[in-house]
Amino acid sequence: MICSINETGSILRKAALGSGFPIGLADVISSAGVWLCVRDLDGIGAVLEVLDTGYPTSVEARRNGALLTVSHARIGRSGVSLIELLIVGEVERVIVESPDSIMLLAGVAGVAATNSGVAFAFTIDGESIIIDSQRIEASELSATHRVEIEITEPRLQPFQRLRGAVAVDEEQWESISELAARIYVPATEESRLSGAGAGLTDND
Amino acid sequence: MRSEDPGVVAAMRPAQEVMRLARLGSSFPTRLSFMRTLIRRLALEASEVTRPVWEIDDEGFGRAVYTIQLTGHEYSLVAFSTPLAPENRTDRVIAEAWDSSYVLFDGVPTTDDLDRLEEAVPRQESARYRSTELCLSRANKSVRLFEHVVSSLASGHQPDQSMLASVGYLMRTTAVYGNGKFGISDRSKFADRHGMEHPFRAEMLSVWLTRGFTTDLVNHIAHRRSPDAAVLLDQSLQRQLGIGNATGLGMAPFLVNHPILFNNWMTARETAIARVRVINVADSRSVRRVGDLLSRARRHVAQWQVDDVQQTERIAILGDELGEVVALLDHSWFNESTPWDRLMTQAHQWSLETQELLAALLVEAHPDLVDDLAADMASVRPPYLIATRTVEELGEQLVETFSWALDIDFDSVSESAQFWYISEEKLEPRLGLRYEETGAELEQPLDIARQVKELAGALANTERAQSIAEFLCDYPEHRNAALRVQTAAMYPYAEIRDNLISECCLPIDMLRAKLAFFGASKFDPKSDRWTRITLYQGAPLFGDIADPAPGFDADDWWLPVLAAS
Repeated sequence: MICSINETGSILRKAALGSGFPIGLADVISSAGVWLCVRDLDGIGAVLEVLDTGYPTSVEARRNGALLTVSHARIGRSGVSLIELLIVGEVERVIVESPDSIMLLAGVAGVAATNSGVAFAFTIDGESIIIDSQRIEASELSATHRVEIEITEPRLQPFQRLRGAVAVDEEQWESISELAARIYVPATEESRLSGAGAGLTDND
Repeated sequence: MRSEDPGVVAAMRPAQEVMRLARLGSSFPTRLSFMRTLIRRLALEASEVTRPVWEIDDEGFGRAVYTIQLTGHEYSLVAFSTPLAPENRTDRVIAEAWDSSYVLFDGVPTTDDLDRLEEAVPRQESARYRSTELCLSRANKSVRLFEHVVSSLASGHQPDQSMLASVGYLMRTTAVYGNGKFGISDRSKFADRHGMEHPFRAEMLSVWLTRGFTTDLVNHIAHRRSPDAAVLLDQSLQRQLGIGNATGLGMAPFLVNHPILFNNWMTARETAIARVRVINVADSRSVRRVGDLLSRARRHVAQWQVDDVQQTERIAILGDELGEVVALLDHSWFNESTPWDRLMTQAHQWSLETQELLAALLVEAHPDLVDDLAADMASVRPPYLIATRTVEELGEQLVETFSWALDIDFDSVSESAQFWYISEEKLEPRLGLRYEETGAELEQPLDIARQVKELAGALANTERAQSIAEFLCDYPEHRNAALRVQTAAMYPYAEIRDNLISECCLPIDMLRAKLAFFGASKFDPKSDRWTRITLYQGAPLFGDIADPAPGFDADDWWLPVLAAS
């Protein structure tokens, strides 16, 4: 199934809202998912991973000077904050342990790189992967127990509109659509008649 | 964005005056409106519309293709006309069938494309589309006018002009989808093309071509019905017919969800008004032009008839006040400097309708001064949060841009009376009464003022030197409000400065604001949640663009006046 970028972003946003995430984070999750999708990475799968258990109420974080370590990291909630703390310079290195979606964290970093012009180095099992505003230097990011993130040399590139269609797995689309449907209000006769403020037939 | 003269910037109306719902709901089209800028571009290029496919039967059913070249690219309207039972004719999103359906195709469709589209397009939202399709739309006949025009033409005479005037269109669109809906092309695919940079350019092109199809259709049916006696619809009458549109709640969230884009529309318009206001001495040509436009505006207003009692009252007051404007602008008015600024200041004594009409009129009279602003009305990228700023800075921005929201008591029933939601029924946007209806727990986050007030409460309990990044670690639920505040600080016209969940919020105000930027006129509210309008009434026909008569001005159709009155 081929989808547009806009409808992909829209359904991911709704799915995040339907999973209980506040609007600001739903937008982050959606943008990260789309950023991955247009690079032929599994953005929808990544979003499904973080929505699977709903919105977490707490974060397990330890700060040691310029090092921040987050355990059992729930990327839908804390991913964007970890990236922003690096950009701001509050911390110099972040260690993420047992993240629910390393792929979505990469998408969050990609969006942040697009907006801020910085680049990020993800170190996984001793191998470094660079994420900047245009690309991610790895075809896939496998499940991992630990990733270290640092800011690396920026490769400033102008902002570019996202282009291209998104090839979507139909089963994933069905799953994400089910989550999105949670925000739809069941129709009642009353809402049908009054909710839109217009009649049901019109032969004017 | 261009750098504006400081004097012009100083003359711009402040956001706290302009971005109120009541004023937005009094908007009029301007020469920066999207239909106007499209027609100017087409006229500049003398674009020719061809009709390579016309497979329409005696009853007016079948398919047709119209192709036009715009700045080096070909675009085609693919139209399908299908039978529709009267009981199924509704303008609501929940409709399942329509009299006609359309796509704007990128290029010229092959027969295979047409066959594929014929299977899909009449089903609208329930089908899937490709990125070769730029817009998807549908339209229903005006039952009152369509058959009257056909039968008149078939009988060999022109339709009743007063009836044409009172309806204004043969068909009305009930949805025009763009930007990726149902698999059609994202706007980003073509937004950088010359001729397509402007907001809603593809949608406006699609509707203009649709207008031509509707008049071709009545001419065709009349001829087939009575080949020997039928006459063609007179061209001057064709110009008086636009395309109707029924607009519902879906347009309102768009303005809230695209703050930078809305800011850019408003900034262009307000800059145009300010450029006129700083004119020190009005030249005789513009004085004459303003006088002519005032006469036209009075005739237009006299022809603007609606059923809605409140709007009827507003139109009556507007008509009276325009008479006062004419009396005011005698020769002595121009003896002193800055006559247009003084007029706009004086206008505060009149209704919002009159104030906004005068603003649009002054812009209309100064094309050389304002037309370049149309190039800045698109937005390239969505807003993003700057997390490096401090809580103190965010708090200051909040007070600067949202102080009006801090005084609202959202715990009161009246200030939280309504909630926006998406119905599971064809995902129709709806508005509910929070304390009377179910579904408020699934509310759409359009309660921006309430979110910002909650952010203010959290900021008050946070160390001022803390970065926003750190703050949002602890309060991720305030991310959206923080972004709205930062965006409003950078883009002053980004935010509607009213409580959108108050019992006083009338969605019709947002609809009118957006529709005025499209270029719509003769707003005909059918409730506080939807309105009818007419698009392209008075606009040039296909032939007026490709081969205009000597002296024809393709850009002179602001507030069209019908010849019948």
